[in-house]
Amino acid sequence: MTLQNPSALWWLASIPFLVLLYLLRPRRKEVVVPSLLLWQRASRELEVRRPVRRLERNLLLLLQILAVCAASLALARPHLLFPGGVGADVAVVMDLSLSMQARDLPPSRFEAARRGAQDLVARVGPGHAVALIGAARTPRLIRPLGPPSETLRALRELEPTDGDADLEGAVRLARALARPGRPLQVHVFSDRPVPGTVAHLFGRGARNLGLVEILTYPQAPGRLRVVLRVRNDTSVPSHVPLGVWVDGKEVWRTQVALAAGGERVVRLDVPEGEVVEGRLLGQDDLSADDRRLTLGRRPLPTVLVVGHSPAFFLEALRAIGVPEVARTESPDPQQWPPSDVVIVDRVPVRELPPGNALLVRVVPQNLPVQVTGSVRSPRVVRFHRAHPLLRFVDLSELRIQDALALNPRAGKVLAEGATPLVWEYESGTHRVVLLAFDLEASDFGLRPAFPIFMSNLLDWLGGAGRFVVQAGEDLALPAAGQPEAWLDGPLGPRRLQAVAGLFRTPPLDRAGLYRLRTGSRTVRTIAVQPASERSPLVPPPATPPPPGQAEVRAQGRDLSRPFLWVLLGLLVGEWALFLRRRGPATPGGRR
Amino acid sequence: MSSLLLDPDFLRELERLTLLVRRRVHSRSSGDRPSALVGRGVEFADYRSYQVGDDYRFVDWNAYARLDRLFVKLTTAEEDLDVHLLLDASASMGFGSPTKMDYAKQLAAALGYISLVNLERVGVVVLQGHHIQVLPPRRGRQSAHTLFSFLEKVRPEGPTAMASALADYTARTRRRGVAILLTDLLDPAGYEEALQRLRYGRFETFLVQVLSEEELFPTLRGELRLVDAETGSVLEWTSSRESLEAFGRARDGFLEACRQFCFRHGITYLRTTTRVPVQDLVLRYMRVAGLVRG
Repeated sequence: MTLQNPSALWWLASIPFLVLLYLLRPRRKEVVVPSLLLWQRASRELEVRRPVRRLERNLLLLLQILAVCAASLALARPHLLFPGGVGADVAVVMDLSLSMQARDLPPSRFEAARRGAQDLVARVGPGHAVALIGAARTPRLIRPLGPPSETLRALRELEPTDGDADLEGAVRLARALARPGRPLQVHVFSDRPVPGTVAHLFGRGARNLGLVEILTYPQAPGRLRVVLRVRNDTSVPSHVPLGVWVDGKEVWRTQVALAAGGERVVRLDVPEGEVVEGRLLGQDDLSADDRRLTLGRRPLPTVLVVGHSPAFFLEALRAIGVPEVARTESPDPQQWPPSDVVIVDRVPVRELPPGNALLVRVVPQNLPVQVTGSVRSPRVVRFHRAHPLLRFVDLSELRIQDALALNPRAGKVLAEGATPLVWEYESGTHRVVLLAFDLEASDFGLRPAFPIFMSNLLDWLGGAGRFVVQAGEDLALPAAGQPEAWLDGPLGPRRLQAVAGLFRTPPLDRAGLYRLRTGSRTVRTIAVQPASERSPLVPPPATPPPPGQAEVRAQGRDLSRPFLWVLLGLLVGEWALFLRRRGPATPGGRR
Repeated sequence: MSSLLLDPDFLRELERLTLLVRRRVHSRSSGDRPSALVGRGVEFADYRSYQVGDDYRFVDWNAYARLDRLFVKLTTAEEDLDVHLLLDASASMGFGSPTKMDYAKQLAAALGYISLVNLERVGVVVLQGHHIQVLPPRRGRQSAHTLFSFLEKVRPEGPTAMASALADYTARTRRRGVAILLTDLLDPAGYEEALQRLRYGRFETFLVQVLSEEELFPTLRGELRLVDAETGSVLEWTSSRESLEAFGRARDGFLEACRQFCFRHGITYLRTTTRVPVQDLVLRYMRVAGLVRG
């Protein structure tokens, strides 16, 4: 049995007062009678039956207490659950990733998941709350625990994104919503299961060919090298037409043969332009990853190097084409010249000023990370290949002499062995990448991946004004003294207000080209790319839900009415007993 | 003759009535009531054989002449009747509507007037606790005014202690006769001893128990603190159907015990409530009960 309005049970607190009132009976009315002779004789007779009278009086109190209980329970709107409904709080985690747009379940996996979630929410028993969490690139609390009707409304307005999904993070967020003493079921509506949850899987196996990567490099003057990576996520070989557009003009088209489950990288040179777009022209079940764009010209940021950087460091920056590299050895940020990106190489900076920075074996105090010691000869066990910083970067064979033992409290670990080795952190004022090891005490700087890492780094840290980001990310851009700006893009024009010197964009869920403008001047151009991770278009079989998370199917029955009838019966009994105690108008007897 | 207690029409009605006394009475003065003493009067009663010592004046010589045996003629003396009106004036008599006291005073006035009209000696004794107020016996219609004035001044107060008060009175008076006790009998010490005192004092005793409807059929409700008007004693009482039924049983038991006691001890017993008009009580119910005739 559940209670829809448990706060009504506070009325039970009135029972002690009832007992108190019973104990403090009203003062007796004083009546003068001619003689107590007859009254005393009657009283002596009643004395014999006193236990029965006491019981009767207690029965009156008992009936009153029961009446209060019945009234409280009726007001608390109790519901009895029996097989058919959900008898616990529910957290619905909706997968908002790109793969949920696959049309193998018409009209799409997401629509099927939405219907399933709506069905689940509609079956949640009264008295239980429902929360809605969107599993996008970062988990989103769309609706905290509340009435199912609000969650249904939020579900109707929910749309999938073109980005990937942090399902595990969303599940952690969902579990954090559990109310003390109240069970919480976490239901994940996705195309892949998450251990420890009730998984509702959607997908039958989609036919998908995707353009999973597009990169541009400056080539000969006026030319750009474009690298395209195409993947076949089907189980059959396929031929698909592939084209390239520069600033909206088709400049190249070919037919690409792809093996079953295979990838193909295509390189070509195209005329220089602002926006370079690749398109797969075939038909498949997931069209959102058939189109991907990037920015052609890359005006790289100005860089300030703080410390004695090794030669290969500067060579890498020069190779990337950074136009200006300033240098200083002062640990005092007040003396640093202005720059877009600061690289601090082993210089003990106490407070890192707001901005974008690469920190090499140095940990300022104002970052949420602690140094707990050092690690000798750490090996990279895991690294985040899909992160924009490590795109095309292989750290698996990296040799490191020693590194700081980091203990981050926030941010994201991109590569780790026994301890984090590469860590990134974003806040409203900082965007930081931290290398826990000295570049000169490792072979990272000698590897071909190093210039790529530096290129990714400068892209990710912001640079001068152009961004290539993953769908689902939100950005904090310097306001440069402007009070407001407009963000144009696939989401439509959005007005942004400057807060603390920053324009914060909403999550850029749709892939495409966004422009931030102040007045009529474009100050930022942002290319948002769809998720590039391999989409699980053939969902694995569902795993059984963990113990305690099994869905209880039930249908509820409102018990308020029976309790009201009980209350009525108690009141009638009380009235009858009261009348019995009062007695008739005159005592029986002979006149 | 007029009185605040009785209206003239009622007084005229009373003049036709006589107290009905079953037993022969013994008095100091001669009157028109048969005496308990035989031989002093003029009215023939019976014959008996002559015995040594008999007065020769009472020998019936005519019978001796016929039967050759000596017989003595017996006659009955006629004496005055003393009527003692015993009025309970305890605080409990002050209840009811009209009050039991007023009702008892009217009744005492009526009975006293009947007696005075019939040339009987009427005295009043007011019982208030252990004390008594006495209006000495007096005879004649002209004494009615004194009787009424005395009764009008009586106020109910103090406890009931009939036994000691009557013991005091019976010891004090040598006149015997009819004792008419007007009381509610609500004496915590019991009424039995008081009635026995009258009986031992050779009074022809009439008991008129005056009660009020309110005390016979109380309509009290709720949680009560009952205070005795006479003693100030307190009884906590929760009025319920059951408790009122218990009261009814106690009341019925008490009244029945009164009736039984009077029956066993030859006391004429009449119970009334203040709702019954005094006129009806005297002219109708007392006739039926054999207290008055006429």
